[in-house]
Amino acid sequence: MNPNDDRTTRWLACLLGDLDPGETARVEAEMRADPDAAEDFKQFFEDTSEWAKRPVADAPINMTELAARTRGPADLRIGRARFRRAWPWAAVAATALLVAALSQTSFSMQLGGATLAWGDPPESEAVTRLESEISALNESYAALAADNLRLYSGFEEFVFSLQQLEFQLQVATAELARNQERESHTRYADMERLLQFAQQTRAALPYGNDPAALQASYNGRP
Amino acid sequence: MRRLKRRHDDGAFETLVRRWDARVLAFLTKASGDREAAKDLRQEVFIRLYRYGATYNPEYSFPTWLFQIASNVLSTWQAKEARGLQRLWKFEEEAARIPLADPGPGPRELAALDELNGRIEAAMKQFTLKERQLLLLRLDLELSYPEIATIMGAPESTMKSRFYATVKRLRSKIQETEGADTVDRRCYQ
Repeated sequence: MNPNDDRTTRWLACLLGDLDPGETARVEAEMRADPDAAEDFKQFFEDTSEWAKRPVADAPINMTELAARTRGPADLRIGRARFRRAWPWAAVAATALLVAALSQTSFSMQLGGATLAWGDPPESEAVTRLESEISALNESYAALAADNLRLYSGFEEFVFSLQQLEFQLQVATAELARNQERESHTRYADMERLLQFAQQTRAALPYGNDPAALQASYNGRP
Repeated sequence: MRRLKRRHDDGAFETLVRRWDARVLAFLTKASGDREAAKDLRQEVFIRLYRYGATYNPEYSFPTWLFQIASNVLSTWQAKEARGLQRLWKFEEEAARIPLADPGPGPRELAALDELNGRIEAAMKQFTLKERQLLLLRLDLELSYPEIATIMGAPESTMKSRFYATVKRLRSKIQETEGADTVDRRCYQ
């Protein structure tokens, strides 16, 4: 097949569906006129398409690694972009705050742990007194809290000893119950033995085990 | 893609990666002709997709945008490869060992290759990166000429005529190797 042959271009366009219906019918007729060449070209086209579509075997992309690589510089860029968008507003807010602060006769603010202040307000003495009272109150509160803690510890110890006593009482009660049971068994056995002994003793007497004779022996007594 | 664009949604990103991973890898492998490099380039494509997700223009189809990124990544890679090669050529003794042009596999090597796929692959190595991309975008991804033109940054008509020319050249190259192989086989029989 001659690569400069325009027929190849037409056939390729036809196989790719790049032609309009009229043109397609004309090219298909041309292909039917030379079936061997057309078949050969179709085979080449199919083989090339198959090669192009053939997947490449490999494990799927490592998402963990990819996720790690998608972080970092991009996030930093986003951060920088946000800063670029936000800084004019932040500057306006800071200026407004400064103007408001300067317009006061006295000003005081906490900035990074340090106190930024100027001016001497008339009520500063009262404020100092109030601060010392608050400080004293804080100390009292701390002492009270320590007392509470001690009291609570004592209470906990008391509850613990109460629990121990309760346990000992339970043990003693159980022991008492066991002793009572043993005692009743012993008494029962003693009673049985006594009855057997009495029966044997009566049998040895002249009137034996006859109750009437026994009664009669008593009747005769004064 | 809309979720990724709007909120930088990681779940949406993962779905896109899973859906397009295999096709992107196949495209990069065949276009670059370097399997190992293609694996790194695939990562780079998806990293760019994540970073520049917000710049996606929904007027274009997603594959157009994705393979435009892939095409840019390939161009950058090729430029770096060329620079690396130029640096090597500064050393004369090294230059002697570096082949100046890919001679392609010989007839005997071709016989050992996986017949037709091997022939096509060998023939494709003699094409430029742009030509290989053009063939893959049309035949594998079945993108339209306007889409290919957007990706390659060239007029649609140019892409169309270049595609036909490339296919014809490919056909010719394959026929050449077929002829050479037949002659070679006859010699060894």
